[in-house]
Amino acid sequence: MDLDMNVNAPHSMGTTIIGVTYNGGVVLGADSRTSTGMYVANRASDKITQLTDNVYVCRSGSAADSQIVSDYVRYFLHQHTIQLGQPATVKVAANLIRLLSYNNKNMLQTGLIVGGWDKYEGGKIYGIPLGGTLIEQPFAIGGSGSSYLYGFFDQAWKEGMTKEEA
Amino acid sequence: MALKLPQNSLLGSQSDSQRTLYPYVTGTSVVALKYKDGILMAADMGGSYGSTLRYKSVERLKPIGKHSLLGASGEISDFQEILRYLNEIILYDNMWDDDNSLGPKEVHNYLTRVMYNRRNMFNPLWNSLVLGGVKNGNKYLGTYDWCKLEDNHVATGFGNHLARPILRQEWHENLSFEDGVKLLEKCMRVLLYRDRSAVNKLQIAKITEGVTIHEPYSLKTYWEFSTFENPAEGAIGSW
Repeated sequence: MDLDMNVNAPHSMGTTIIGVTYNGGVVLGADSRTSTGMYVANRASDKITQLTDNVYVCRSGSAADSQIVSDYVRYFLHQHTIQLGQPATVKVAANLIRLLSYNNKNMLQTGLIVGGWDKYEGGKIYGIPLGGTLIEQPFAIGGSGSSYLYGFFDQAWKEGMTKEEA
Repeated sequence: MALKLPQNSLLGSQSDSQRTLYPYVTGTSVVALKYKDGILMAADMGGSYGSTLRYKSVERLKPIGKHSLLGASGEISDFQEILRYLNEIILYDNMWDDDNSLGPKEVHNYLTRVMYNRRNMFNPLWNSLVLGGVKNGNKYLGTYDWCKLEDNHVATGFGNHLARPILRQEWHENLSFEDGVKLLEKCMRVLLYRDRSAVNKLQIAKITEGVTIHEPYSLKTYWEFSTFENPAEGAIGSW
């Protein structure tokens, strides 16, 4: 019934996340609602999480799963940066996320969009949906709210936009 | 050998009983045939997420070493993992530096073993594979779909039901390149009409002594049915 708001449901994030490349880098966007069943647990969540100075990730799906994956990858990237002696590339960050997502696919329920800039490839967006597929895209959308956007992006997206357009 | 994950690593543990329960992002059919000079393989570029066509630029045909081409349908993340395993054995093979290289038969056999072993551990790689190649003039075309098969023309998934009958009728030895492509296109068009998860953006690959994957393109489809011409005409009583 309406009164039976299941406040003990796992925190999932009825989310919309977007990542778009443009001619100088990437732009990431996300909403700020985290819901537990019908109740909004957090109306000011920050779903765009920093992994390194130059790579961020948009999180969707289970809040706990996406947070723990981000934490592990931030830790690995920090070590990697120290060993490499220069900023990590977006591809490495995306592949670390992919490894965690793929190897734990039975337990994790999180779709992520990794976006960033490095000096080798410029701005890049990688989508990593459930299952751990790694797919490089010029733009990516995710989360349960993204269904409404597929049509819009198919029509409105074009190559080589400026930052304002993106 | 292929499952060289370290124990108790953060990146995935071997000790807990893992199993892939169901696929998430999937590719649809792959169709392939032998022709006069080698092998032709076709697959569309769609990645479905359940019933929605989420990704429309997924490359499902990949060259393996110098001689082979692998096409996969099913879970794309498992396909990406298979490519990693294959890259590893190809690398080791190249490191021998002995003028010999893994041909399609060997790669197909390796894949069969990997897939079968994963199945036995109830942790399958959720894919149907098509492996084709030419080595020293010998053409080889095989598939793995829970068992290993070799034939002059193969398909996965829906392709088995829709494309194989066409191929059984119209395939013959010594197809020219143009005829082979036309035949594949005929199969892919039927799949486009009748397979819900097909997209009209396909890649065709050719293997002779080298591997060429052509740029993606679209097929022309026919929709000029007379009943569509004046849609309002029979509106009340039509079906």
